[in-house]
Amino acid sequence: MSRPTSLGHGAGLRREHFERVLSAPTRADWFEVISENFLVPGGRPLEVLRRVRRDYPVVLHGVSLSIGSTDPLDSGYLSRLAALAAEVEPAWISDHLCWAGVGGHQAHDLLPLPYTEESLAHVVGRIARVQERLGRRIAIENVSSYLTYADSAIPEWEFLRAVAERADCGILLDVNNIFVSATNHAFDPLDYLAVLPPERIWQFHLAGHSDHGAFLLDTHDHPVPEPVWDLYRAAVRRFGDVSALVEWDGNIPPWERLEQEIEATRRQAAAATVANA
Amino acid sequence: MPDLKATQRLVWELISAPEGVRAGAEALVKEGTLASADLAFLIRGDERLDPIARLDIYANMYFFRLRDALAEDFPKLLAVLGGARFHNLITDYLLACPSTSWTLRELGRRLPEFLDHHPLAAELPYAADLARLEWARLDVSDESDAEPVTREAIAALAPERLATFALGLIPAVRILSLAHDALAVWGQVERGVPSDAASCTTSAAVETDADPIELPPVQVSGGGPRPTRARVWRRGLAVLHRAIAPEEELALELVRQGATLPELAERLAAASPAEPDLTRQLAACLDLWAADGILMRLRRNR
Repeated sequence: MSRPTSLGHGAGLRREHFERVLSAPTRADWFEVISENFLVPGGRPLEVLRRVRRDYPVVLHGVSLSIGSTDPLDSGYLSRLAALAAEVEPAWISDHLCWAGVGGHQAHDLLPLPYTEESLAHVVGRIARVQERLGRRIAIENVSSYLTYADSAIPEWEFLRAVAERADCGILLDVNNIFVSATNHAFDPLDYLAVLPPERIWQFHLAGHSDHGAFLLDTHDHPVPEPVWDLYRAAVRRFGDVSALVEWDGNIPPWERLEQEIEATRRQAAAATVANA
Repeated sequence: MPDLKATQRLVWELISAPEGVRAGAEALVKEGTLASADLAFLIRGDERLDPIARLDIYANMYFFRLRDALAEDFPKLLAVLGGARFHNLITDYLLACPSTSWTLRELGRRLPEFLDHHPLAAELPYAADLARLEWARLDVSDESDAEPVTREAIAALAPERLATFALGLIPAVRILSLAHDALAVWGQVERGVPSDAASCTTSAAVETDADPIELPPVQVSGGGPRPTRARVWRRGLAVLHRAIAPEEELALELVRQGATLPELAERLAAASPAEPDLTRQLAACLDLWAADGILMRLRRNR
């Protein structure tokens, strides 16, 4: 399996930056948008997305696929996502390795799965159906987690690798999520990187988190902290030139500050590449 | 161990339990669904966090994420209620109307009706109508795009064509019939009427990352019982609203149904037989609607 060509270094497009991004060139190579924010009939969000797409590659990143839920896949959601993808022609579509609701109720959260053979078979089958419906392979992202199920029998990184290989999909590797989960569950984040197959890694996510003492919370409301940069450089050394993206969703700074973070991503990737040479 | 489906159902029940995970687990033990409330059979604990504390992280995120989404969708309601009352209202709402859609955009759809029957309705009778107005504004903000008919296009119509053309409304129009003057309240909050406790506007509530529960209520006047009709619409990307007379409401409904201009005049004349100059009024209405960009589908009536 060949992975997509790197799009470079980008940012998650948020409403607070719409005007700035539309009004002048930016230092972002590409943008990722939250699919659900644009699955609407019309109005400003779609107008903005169409204009951004004229100037940048765009990736559709979803939060509602609920690929691990035992509820049926939502055909209405998939139809709208397919229609948006047909219009926007994203570089790829991604969502999370999680479940978001059950019994018809939606938690609107990225809830972790028990890492079991039952879950693995369930998720692999559903990814296959989604990829068939969308007519394309998708990328699946590792989530931050704050709990481990008593019956989890497979390390998360082994589970993620097995999902990607058996479902023949890509991996959106969230470096901050690895760090957060590694801290919360006391594992070595480098073990995570060591197991994943490079040809499956389509994209990196980078973000900040909050320290709550007993645990780290994936809040996306701080700059990328040094330990996450360290892990990012290790990821670049292992996986090479992969599209990287900064997420900033709380305490959203002015666009110029976010651009500094994009530039930092470039510098960190370059430093890792030089060290690798 | 429960299978995947049973695990997910149990986790959902625990993280959405109104009194928290521990109380939720104890309730399940009481009803015989669970053997033990410590949840060690479900979640691994460690020296930092036991199973209940780990699930509580998700329980808190569940409630606050949904509350904050509703605070964004109903900023004026949040302002007049203040953070504490809004928080309590949303607690009640989520228990009665948990999310069943993949999109948070739909979460508040039932809030106005829920408010009609909530104890807050006795305290702030206009609250439900204010929520209705905010929901209508949200609804038109991302409604389907359409090419509106301009005043110039209507003016350019030859008289013989006026009789055979039907007008329609663009999709991004809502007509509201309210029992209270919620428009006055909305306007006061929008202008940032200072409260007795502190100067606090809705915009400030939404544009900062302050916890909504900290916000004091904005003191407003008016909003008493007063039948009010309102038109809410989107012109370009701007969302607007205004109060309308009963005659305009009727005319808009006829336009929405695709009436031709002669049919429109005939129906209005029947509804207002004492009105001396309906033609002039209708022309003024058409001019205003075209200026507001709410007319579309100038098409031949078969």
